[in-house]
This record gives sequence, structure tokens and C-alpha cells, in this order.
Amino acid sequence: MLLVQQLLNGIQFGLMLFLMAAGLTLVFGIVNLINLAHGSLYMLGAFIGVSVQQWTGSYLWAVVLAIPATAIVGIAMEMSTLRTLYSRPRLDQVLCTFGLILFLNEIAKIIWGPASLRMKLPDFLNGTISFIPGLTYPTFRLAVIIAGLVVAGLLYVLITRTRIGMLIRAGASDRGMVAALGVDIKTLFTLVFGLGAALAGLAGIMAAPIYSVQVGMGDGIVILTLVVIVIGGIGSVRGALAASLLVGIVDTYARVLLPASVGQICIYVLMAGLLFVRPRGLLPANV
Amino acid sequence: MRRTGLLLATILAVAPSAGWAADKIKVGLVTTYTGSEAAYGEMETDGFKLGLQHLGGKLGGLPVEIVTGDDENKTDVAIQQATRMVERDRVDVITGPALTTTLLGVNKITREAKIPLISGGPGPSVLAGRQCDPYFFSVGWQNDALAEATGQYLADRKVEDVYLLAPQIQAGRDMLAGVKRHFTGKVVAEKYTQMTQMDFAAEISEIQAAAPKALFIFFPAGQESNFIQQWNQAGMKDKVPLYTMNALDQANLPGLGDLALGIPIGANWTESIDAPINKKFVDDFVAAYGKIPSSQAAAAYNVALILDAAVKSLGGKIEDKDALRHAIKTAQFVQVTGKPFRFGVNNMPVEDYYVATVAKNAAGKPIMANPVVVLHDYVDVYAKDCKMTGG
Repeated sequence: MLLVQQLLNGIQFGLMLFLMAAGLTLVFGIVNLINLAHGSLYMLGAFIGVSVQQWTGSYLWAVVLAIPATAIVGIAMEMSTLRTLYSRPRLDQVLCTFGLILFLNEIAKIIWGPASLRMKLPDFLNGTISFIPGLTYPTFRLAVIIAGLVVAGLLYVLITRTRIGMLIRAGASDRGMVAALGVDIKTLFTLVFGLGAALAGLAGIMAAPIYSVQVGMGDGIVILTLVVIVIGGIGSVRGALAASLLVGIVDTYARVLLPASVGQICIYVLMAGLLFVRPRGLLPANV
Repeated sequence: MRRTGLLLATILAVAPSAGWAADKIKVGLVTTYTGSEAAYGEMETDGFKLGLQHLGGKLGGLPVEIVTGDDENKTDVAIQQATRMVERDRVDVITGPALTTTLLGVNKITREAKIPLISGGPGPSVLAGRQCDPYFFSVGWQNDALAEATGQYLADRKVEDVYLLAPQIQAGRDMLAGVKRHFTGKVVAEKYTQMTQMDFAAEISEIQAAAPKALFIFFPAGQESNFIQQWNQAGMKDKVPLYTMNALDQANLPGLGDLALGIPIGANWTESIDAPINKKFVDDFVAAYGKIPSSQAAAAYNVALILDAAVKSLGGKIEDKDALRHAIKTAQFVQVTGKPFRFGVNNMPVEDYYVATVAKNAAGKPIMANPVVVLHDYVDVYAKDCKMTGG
């Protein structure tokens, strides 16, 4: 039972990472931009969600409104700042998006204050559920797993079955050619960025009831997310899914089985080991 | 113009000479105003300011200038803030750091600069024993002793076994060592989590499987309230009784609401200790800031009281650092719990430690209620190892 429960914990954490990683890997792979401020979008999703909940009293409204709101912030970020960075060297991108982290953290501090905020759950999500005899699991965490799987499924359909998905795949393989064929690559990039931001916002709003919502909450998770997309293969959504589950499960077991100081470095060792065997990641995007 | 300049020069030339009473006392307040532990900073600032207000806005007759610095709950930032206060602002005394990690960082600076550091709460074991520092004082508590009170309480109730959980930091090790010191039952497991961990799903599953008779936790306030929230989400509240120390107090109780009811807390002070000075402190605090004070607020109130007594005994002559240190050590005052305050040889408080239980007050708010003294006039276990030079 404990094994199953820890597996669920690992999967839940992994899927949360996947929501972050899917957006980041798309932007990285297709737009060719390192966006360190992806974690700030996650933070904004959570903060906007808390505000909506304070305003309407409902968690579901918070979810429904925070996601498009974060997407809009993401699109605004792309159109105002990041667009100018596409042709610039990597170091410029890192510096600028790091600056954005500081900027957005300060903005959040000014709007929502320095202290952490809490998100309340509706009663039907707040209890535990027993779907296998002898195993109880927090309902909300199960909801996170379901939401994560649904999003993964939708992304799969979007990327493999739709025209936009086709363009995204084509963009990941050869951007120059896609542009030469007359596709409005600028709009495509903005769309991809908005999609990534929406996913980060969703991750934020789902993290909010478990963690406290505070300035800088995205700074830690963005590092883990970078680890995930490097393990998965940059630009590959399938790779991001596999890698986030792997990282989630390994991290969970490492935390309970190893001393805290060793557990902390486990996933980095995993990353180094995997890159040694498969330098392009688990499931590289364009092979 | 020339005359003013001359006058100014004279004043500047005369002012620093010894023997004169200083014109003011500069107090550096390094604490956490940002992030998950921001409640500490707010509580401390309010507690200190209320103390100051009760003393007529002066400490020992001297006007006060407060210099604040946000350590963002990061040790390196705390060190930067303390360095700035020592080198640029030239403060007379530093107080604040609400967490053991930031406190130990600031202590590195104050120990070298020989500036008194008065803790706004924690008393880490490393500063209580062999490495005790004549310039470090705690008017809050000694870390272990809080958990020792809870451990004694568990032993008194003949609880058979306990599961221990804390973060991998100095305060975490202090607390778990403290619980074990007087506890006579079996320790099921002693687990340490990562320092800034916010998700405890894996740990909670482990505890669920181990099914101990009791769980003792310590985390800084923000993490502690995360844990309790997740503990409730996992439906563990009715399965394993939870015990803790004053990391669960008014810094995080308001956000938890009913979730924390019934949890026993090891503490050196609670808002329900029945003493006139405490009643005045709590009532005035609620009136001024609209919230019930926390343990850190009470300790910060003590900081104001001890500085007042120390400066008064020096007649305002605070320039001599060694004399100021000595005056703090021997200051006579009644602390917020209503008892005369006393330091041990290691500059940790010798005081009563309580176990209180979270219950609702008349207004329906959760408070640390029904405090029972578990350890009387308790001298911490490290005091015997402290050989203070120049004591």
C-alpha cells in the first residue's frame, strides 16, 4: 500500500512538473528561447487565482479565470520584451528573462504583499478518497493527477491531430522552412508562448492549495523544470511527460529512502547519468 | 553661516568622547519580511514597537532610532544586512533574526564586531554550549527546551511511541534532540526533510504506514502551516495525534483556523498566561495591530524591556561596548510572562517552559490555551559546557 501511495505521490508531483515543462519545452524547442521567467508565470497564476477566490469565494472560478489571465500576461510578455530576443545570443536571453523574474517578483510583492497567502479548497476536494480498499489518498492530489493526464491527452491531440500542432512540429524541425512556406511564424510563436503561459498558470493554480502562495515561489520549480526538459529532450512534449514522471517518482522515493542531504542531489545525478548515455535526452524532438 | 559651521564642528569634536551620555540608541532590526516566514518580521516589529510605546518611546531615557533590514529568510542576505548595520549605520545593538539559520549568520558578524545581538526568539544549541558568545543573548527561549517540554509532556502521558519530523537545519536537529531528552517511550523514526521543502506528501504517506501513537513536528511557521494543511487533506488529523512547539502560534494559527485545534505546543510564553503584564501586552497588541501577538512578538517585547533596563543602569552611557554587554547581562526586569527575567551562564533564559493546547477563545479564534508549566526555572543542558570569557 505504501508503495502504491508513494507512486501516486510521485506521479502527482511529476504531472505538476509536466505542466510547467510542456510549456517551457515548447518555447525552448520551437521559439528557441530560454525563458527563465517561466516560473514567474506559475507564481502569477497562483496569485491571480487567490485574488479571484477572495473576490468570488470559489476555487473553480479561480481556476477558470486564472488560466486565461496568465496566458494574457504571457502573451504580453512575449510581445513587449521577449520578441526582440529571438535572434540574440543565449546569454542575452538568460540575462533578460532573469531580469523579468526580479521585475515580476517585485510587482507581485507590490500588488499582493510580502507575506504568503493561502488558497482554500471546496469541501468536495478537501477530503480523502479510497478507491482501492485500504488505500486512502487526498482527493485534491488525485484531482491534480487527473487534470495532468487530461492536459497531456489534450496536448497530444493538439500536436498530432491539428493544423496548429502540425505547424508546431514543423517549427520545431525547421523554422526557416516553415517561414519560407508563408506561415506567419510570428503569430505562431506568440500562440505557443501563450499556450506555455496558460499551462504554467494551471500548474500555479493547482499548486496553490498545497503550497503557500508567495513571492518567489516559481524560482525553485523553474530549476526542476529545466532539469526535466533537458532529461526529456529539448522541444519534445512526449519527452517532457516521460521525464517529469521519472523525476517526480525518483524525487519522491529519494526523499523517503535516502537522508535529506543525499535525496536533494538525486535528480541531478540522474540527469548527469542519463545525459551520459543519451546526450540528446530520453525522447528527442526532431529525429 | 560661519558661526553655525564652527558650532557644528565643536559638537562633532566633543560628541564621541567617553563619559557623556549618548544622545540616542540605534537599534538594528534584522528580520524576515518576505516569503513564507514574513509573519515573523511583522510580529517582531510590532512587538518591539509596542514595548517601546509602553516605555514612553524611549529606552532607559534615550531616544531610539530603529534601522530595519529584510533578511528574506536567507542567511547570506541576513549577513549582508547585519554588515551594513555594523559598518554603515553603526548601530549600538542588533536584534531580530527570527529563524535559527539567519540568527547564526548575523551572529558571525556581531561576534566579531563585539556588538550585542539579542535574539528575537531562537536560542540555538551551538550558541548555548562550548561556543557560547558573551555578546549573544536570547530573551526568547533555548531551542531544545521548547521541544523538551513537549517530550516531557509525552512522557508524563505515557505515550508509547513517537515519530519525529523536522527540516535538515540546526533548529530541526535541536528540536528533535530536545523531544528525545525526556521522552521515555520508543522513537519510531527520526526523519529530516529538505530545508525549504513545501510538499510533504511522501513524508505523510510514510507516517501513515508507520502508524505511530504520536507525531512530533517542527518547521518554521510557513512550512509548519503547510504541513498541517496537507496533514488534514490526507485525513490524518483523527488518526495520529500531532504534537509540536511554538512554531505553531499566532504567526500561522489565524491562517489555519480550525485545522490546528487540539494540538499541544511546547512554549516559553503563550497569549493566555495569566499575568497582568501579559494581559496588558496582549490586549494592547490586539488593539493596536488587530491581531493576537505571537511568540516572536512577545520575545521582541522582552527585547525592548531588557534594553530599557540595561540603558537605565548605565545612565545612558552606552558607548562602552563591554559595559553595555555587562548591563544587558545583569539587567533587572519583569519579563512578559510576569516573572523576573534571569540569564543562565550561557546568556540563555532560565525560565518556565509550558505546554499549551490550541483551542478557541471567546471570539472563536484559535489560541494557545491552558498553558501548564512542564519545566520549572529550567536551565538548558548546554549551559554546563559554556565557559564564557570575560563573563
